[in-house]
Amino acid sequence: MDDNSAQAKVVLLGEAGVGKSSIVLRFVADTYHSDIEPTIGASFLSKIVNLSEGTIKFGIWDTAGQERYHSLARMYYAEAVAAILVYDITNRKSYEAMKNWHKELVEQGPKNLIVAIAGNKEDLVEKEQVEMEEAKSFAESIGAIYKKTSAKTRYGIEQLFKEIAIKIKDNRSIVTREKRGSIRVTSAVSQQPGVAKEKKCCS
Amino acid sequence: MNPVKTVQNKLRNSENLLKLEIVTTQYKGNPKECFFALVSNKSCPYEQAIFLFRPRKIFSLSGGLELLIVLPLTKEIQIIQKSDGFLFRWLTYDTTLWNITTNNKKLINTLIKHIEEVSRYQREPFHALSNSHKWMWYYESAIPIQVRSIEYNTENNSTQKISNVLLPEHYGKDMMNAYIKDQLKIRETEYTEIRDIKMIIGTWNTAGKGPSEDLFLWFCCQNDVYLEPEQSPDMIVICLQEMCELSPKNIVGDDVRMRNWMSHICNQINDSFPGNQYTIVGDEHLMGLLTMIFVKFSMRDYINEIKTSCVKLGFKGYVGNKGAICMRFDLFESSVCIINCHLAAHKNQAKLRNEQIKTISKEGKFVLSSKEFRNVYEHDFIFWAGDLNYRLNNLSTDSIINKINAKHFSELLEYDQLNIEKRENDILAEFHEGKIDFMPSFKYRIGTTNQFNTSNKRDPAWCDRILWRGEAFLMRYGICNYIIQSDHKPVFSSFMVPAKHTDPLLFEQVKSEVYKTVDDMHHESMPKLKISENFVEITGVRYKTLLTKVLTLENVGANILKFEVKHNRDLGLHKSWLAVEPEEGTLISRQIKELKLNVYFGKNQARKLNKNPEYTNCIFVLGVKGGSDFFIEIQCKINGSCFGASIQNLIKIPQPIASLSEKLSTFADKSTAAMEIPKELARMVDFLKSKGYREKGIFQEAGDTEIKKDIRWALDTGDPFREDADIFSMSNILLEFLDCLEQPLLLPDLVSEACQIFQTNSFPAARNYLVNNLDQISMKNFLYIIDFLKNYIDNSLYNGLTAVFLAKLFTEPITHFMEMENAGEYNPSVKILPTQRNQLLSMFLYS
Repeated sequence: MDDNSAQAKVVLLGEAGVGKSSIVLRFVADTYHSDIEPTIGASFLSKIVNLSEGTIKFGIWDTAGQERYHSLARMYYAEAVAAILVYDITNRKSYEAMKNWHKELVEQGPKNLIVAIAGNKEDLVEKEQVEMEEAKSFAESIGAIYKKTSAKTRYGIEQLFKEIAIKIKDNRSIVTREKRGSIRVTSAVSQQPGVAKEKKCCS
Repeated sequence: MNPVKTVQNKLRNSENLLKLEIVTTQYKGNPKECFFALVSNKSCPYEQAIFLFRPRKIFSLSGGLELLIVLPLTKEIQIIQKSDGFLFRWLTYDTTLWNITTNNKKLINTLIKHIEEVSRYQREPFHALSNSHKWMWYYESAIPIQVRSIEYNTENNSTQKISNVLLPEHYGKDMMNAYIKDQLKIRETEYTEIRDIKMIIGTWNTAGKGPSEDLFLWFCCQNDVYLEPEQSPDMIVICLQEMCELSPKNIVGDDVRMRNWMSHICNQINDSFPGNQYTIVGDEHLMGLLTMIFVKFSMRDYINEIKTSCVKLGFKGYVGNKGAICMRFDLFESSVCIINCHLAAHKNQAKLRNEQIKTISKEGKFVLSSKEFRNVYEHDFIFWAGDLNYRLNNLSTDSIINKINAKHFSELLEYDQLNIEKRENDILAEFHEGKIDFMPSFKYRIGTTNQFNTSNKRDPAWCDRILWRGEAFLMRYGICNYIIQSDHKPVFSSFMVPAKHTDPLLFEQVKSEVYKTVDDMHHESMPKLKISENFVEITGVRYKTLLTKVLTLENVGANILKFEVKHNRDLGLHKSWLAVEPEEGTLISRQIKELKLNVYFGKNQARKLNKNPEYTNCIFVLGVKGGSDFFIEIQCKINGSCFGASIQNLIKIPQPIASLSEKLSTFADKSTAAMEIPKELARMVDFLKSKGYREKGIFQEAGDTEIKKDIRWALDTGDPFREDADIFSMSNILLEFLDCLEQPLLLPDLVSEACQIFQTNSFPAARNYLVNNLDQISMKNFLYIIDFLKNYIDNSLYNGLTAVFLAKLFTEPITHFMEMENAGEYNPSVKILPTQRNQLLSMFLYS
C-alpha cells in the first residue's frame, strides 16, 4: 500500500528569528507567543487539511534557523514535497538569506519540490524593508507560491498551507497516473510437489 | 496472459488490486487453482475485500474468470490456520465459507493485521445497508448469503471488540482515514437532517392497452382498506409494463402509445392532488416498460443525478420481450434506485425469473457525472417493482379461488414462488416487502373489479410486487380493484423515505473539528523526549585518551519512544572522534536513560585537528521516531599534542605543547626558535639510550597501557617520565609518534624513486637522491633515527635485533607509505613492493 498517499512532508527554511516556528504553531495549534525560544533541532508537527477533493496530512518539519545548523537542513528538505521559505519583511538580510535557500534547493533539493515563499511579520508592515512587489516578482520568476503572512495576526497562514495542499494534490494526481499497478503474483501452491505449476488461464 | 491484468479487467477503475496470489481452493467442488485477490476501493482504501476468481473451463471473452466469492475484510472474518492453508469463516458461523491452500503466511498475516486494525474502528456489523464497503455491493451476487443477512450479523455481533484508539503509527495512514470516516458517521446528526420524503410507487401491467380510465385511486393509494386518499406526496414513481402490444412484428414499442400514457398520467397526477404541482424529472421506456418519476415542483432541486440503465432480457427468440428499467437519483444526499421490471411469465419459469433478477442487478449500471460507476446495489434505497410474474405453486385453481374468497391470503402466500425463492435461493434476500393483505393482482376478467379469469390455466397470482431495501417505512401497500381496463390490477405503495440532507457549512465545521481532534490526538501521542543538554563542552581532551560525557534522556511522553542517532555521512557532519552510545534505543514512558558521548582522538583525528580548527566541533542529530529531531552540539577543548603534529612545527616550539594557548601551527609560524630535533623525539631517544641497547624484546613487547598514556602526557606537558617507565612502552610510543606525524619523514614518492634507483643503480645513488631531494629538517631527523637504531644492530648479539627486522618495523612509520596508498593519497606510477621499501631502509641501517 502506498503509505504516503495521505501524508506530505513540508519543511520550513529561513534565517533565525523570521518566525518559522510561530507560523507552524499558528497553523497547527492556532496559538502565538511573542517570545518562543529558538528551535534547536527540527521539530515535527502535523495537521490535516481539508480540501474539496479530500484531505491531505501535512507532516511539518520546522528547522533551526541558526547558521551553524544550516548544513543539517538538507536532511529535511531532501525528502520533502514542499518547502516554505520564510523571511521577515522588516529584515532585508533575511530576504537575501531566503534567496540563498532557494538557490541551495535548486542545486541540492529534490526534483519537483513545491516552493512557497512566506513574507512573515506582515503586522509590522510599517517597518517593511522588502517591498511586496519585489518578493512577489521573485516568487513568480521561480514559480513559487507567494504569501504575506503574520503568525501574530493569523494573516495568510491558512491560505499559505492551503495553496500548498492544492498544488500537492495536483502534482500527486499526475504522479499516480504515471505509476500504476505494480503487483507481483506469488504462487505458493506451485512450490508444492505434485501440483501443476503455473497453470495460468488463457495462455 | 498476465494474471494481474486479467484480474484487473474484472475490477472497476475505482478499485485497486492490492495483492494477487494463486491458491488452491475447494469452494464449490473439487480443489482448483484460483486467484485470491485483495482489493480496495480507491476513495476509501481501508475498505478492503477478498475476491476469489476461478478460471473458467471454457475461456470466455470476459477474461475467462468467474468471480466465486467476495468477502469484506471486516472484523467478522475468522481466519483459521490449518497445516496446509487457511479456513475462512464468517463470525461464529460453523460452516467454512471456503478454504485455501497456501504457504504464503505473509499474505495471511497481512489479512489478519488488517482485520485487527479494522476492529479498532468498525462499530457497525457488516450487512447490506452498513456504511462501509458500499462499493462491494457491485458484486452482490458473489457475496455469500450469510454475509449479506442483516439479521444474522446483528444478532451475532453482541461482543464487539472496539478500542477505537489510534496508535501513533496510524497517523497519516489509512487507519486514520477510517477513524475520521467513523467519527464523521458518529456525528452525522450534527450536520445532517433527515427530510422525510413521502414517495408513492405504483406498478401496473396494462395488458397492452392504452389509457382509458381515471387512475386517481391508484395515485392516491386508495381502495377498500385505505379509504382516505394519500395526501400530497413529495414524489410519485409510476412503473408500467405492457403499455403497448408487443409482438414479433413490433418489438421496438410504440412511441404514440407511450406519449398517450405519459400525458394521461401526468394530467391525472396533477388532478389527483389539487393545490400541488408535479413535474416529471425522469422518464424512460423500454418496449412495453415505462418508468416515470414525478416530484412536487418545490422539490425538484433536491433530485439530482438522475440516470437510467435499461436491461433487455432476451427470451425465446424475442428481443426485449422482457426487461427492466433501472433509474437512480440522489434525493438530497441519499441515493435511490428504482427498478421497474417485467420478468418471464408462466408458473414453471420461476428459475428463469431468478436468473433474470440476477441479470438485472448485474447489468444495471449507471455512470455518474463524476464518471464513477454505480450498480443498483450501491444505493441507500432500492425499490424493486414491476410484474415479477412469480406464481403460486402446487395448488389447484379451485383451492386458490376458495382461499381468496375466504381472504386466507397468508395461507396462500406460503405457496408464493417469490417468497419461496427469497427464502430458499437468496433471491432478493435482503429486500423487504409489506404484508400482502390484498387480492392477487392477476388475472382478472377485463372490465371486472374482482372476477378472476382462469382460462388457459392461468391461476390468480401476486405477479405485481413492490419490494425495497434500505431504511424506508412502508405506509400503504395494496391494489386498486376499481381500475378495470387490464387483466392486472395496479399495485400501489406509499413510503416514508428518510433522506439525508447535509448542511455543507455544518459539515465543514464538524469535519474541521474531527480533524482537529485527530491532530490533537496525534500531538498528544507523539513521542516526547527531554535531553539534559543540547550544547556540550568537553574540556581536557587529550590524544588517545577516552573521555565520556553523559547526557540523560527522559521519555516525557505517554507512549513508548524510540530514538536513534541519525547519521548523514553524505552531509559530512560525522566526526570520527565522537561515538554515541547507544546509537539507538527505546524508552518507555517516564524512563530515563544515559546517552554516552565518547570522545577519542586517535592518530587520524589528531592529524585532522592540525589541519582544521573546526574539527573539534560537532553537531549530531538525535531523532525520535515519529517525533522531533534534536541537534546536539559538542565542542571539544583539546590540549595541544605532539602526536599528529609535523616535525617542521615541533622544532619551533621550545615549551611544552600542552601549555600552548593557541593552535600549534599559529604558534610555530610566529616562533623564531629552531631546534634540529623536536624535543619530544629527543626525549624518547635519550631515554632509550640511557637504558642501553642490549635488552631483548624492545620494539617487540607491547608495553603497559597506563605507562604509555603517561608517557604521551609527559611528552606534551614537559613533565618528567614516571619512574617505572620502561623501554618497551617507550619504544612503542616512539613508533607511534613517527606514525602519527602530520607528514611522514620520507614522503612515499621520494621513497618510490629512491627504491627504483636502488634497484637499477646502487644504494649510494639512492641515498644521494634522497639527500638531494629531501628537506633538511626531515633528513636530519631521519638520519637521527637511523643512527639511533644502528646502536641496536651493533648489539644484536644481545638483543637479537637485525637490520632487516628493524627496517620492516620502521619503514611504515617513517614513510606512511601503505597508509597513504590505502587512503588514495598516493598513487604510484610504478608499484613498489613493501620488501623493496624495507630493503632500502635496511641498507641505511647497514651502511
